[in-house]
Amino acid sequence: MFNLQAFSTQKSPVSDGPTAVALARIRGLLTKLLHNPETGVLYLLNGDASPITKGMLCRFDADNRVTPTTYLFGDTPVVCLADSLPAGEWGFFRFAGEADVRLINAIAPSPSDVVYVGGVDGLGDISAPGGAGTWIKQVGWLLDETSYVTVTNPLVRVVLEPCCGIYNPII
Amino acid sequence: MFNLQAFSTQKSGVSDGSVANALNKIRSLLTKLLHSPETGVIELTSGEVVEDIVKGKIVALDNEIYQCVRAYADDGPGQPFTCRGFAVCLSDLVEPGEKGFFRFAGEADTILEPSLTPGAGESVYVSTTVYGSGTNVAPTGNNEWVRKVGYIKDASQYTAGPPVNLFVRMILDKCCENQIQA
Repeated sequence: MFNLQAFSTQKSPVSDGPTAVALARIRGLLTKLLHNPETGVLYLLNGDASPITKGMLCRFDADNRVTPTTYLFGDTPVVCLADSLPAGEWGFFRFAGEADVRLINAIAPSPSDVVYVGGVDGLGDISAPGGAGTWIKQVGWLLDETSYVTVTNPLVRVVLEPCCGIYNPII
Repeated sequence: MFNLQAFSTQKSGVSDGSVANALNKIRSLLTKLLHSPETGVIELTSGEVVEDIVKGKIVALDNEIYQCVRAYADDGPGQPFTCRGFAVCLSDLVEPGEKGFFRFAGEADTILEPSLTPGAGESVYVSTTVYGSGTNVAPTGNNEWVRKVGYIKDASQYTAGPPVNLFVRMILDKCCENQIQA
């Protein structure tokens, strides 16, 4: 991922004067760019009663507001970037690019797996849902699962490519 | 496409000192930004054993972390099915086991199969006959997958030659298409 901190470190020899002012403004501008829809990031409100944690998949439930989602909805998911976003607060969510996505526990993810919206609020799965009334909703493709530890750190690195959902009809 | 060289030109009046130093660092930073997932580009390792991956080839994610191979949309007997998470190679040449830059979103020059008549607006699918190439003809054969990669924006460069030029400009858009039947 793009590391803005590298710039912060590199500019340290210049601490005042017009050059320092210019650099500070450029850094401010780049920071905004990295938290902008042009780079796949949205600023949204947590509409849930509980905190939304890093990597949770969320859906829009009102204007500029999201809640953790499951395969019962066909909406395009966004991924929480904040470590923990309290209920009723605003935070950053990613809809394009790469993101750490939180999966359900006790599975064995591997690179190039499809990640789907799962059956637990906010969590992804590598198995497509098959039950009546569910949506097969792709979130993206798994790039790196090496940090996945069930329960304690169920996060995997995913390139986000939400594809059109397929609805399993209720017969 | 965004041209970072324009920035390079603009800074030419300043060749040394703290301002030049700062400008160089900004340019370096912008270069990194243009090679980051935030702008649709991911660095991957080639999982190919023998073949190089050249600029414009379509790749698919492989079964190792941050690794790719040339895409191929036929999973018939004896054929490796490699159609997951497509991207287009931006690097001139990526040798087996080496790293390169691949575009997942945005626009990219993409290599199609030879002997086609591509046109702007047409869909590009992963080829079932040439590893890593695209085609504007949707596969229909047994064991073949219809995997759309994007749309042709400009096919004016494509020519059977000589010299042969199999590149088209493509907008990456991988969502499935469904047509309502009457």
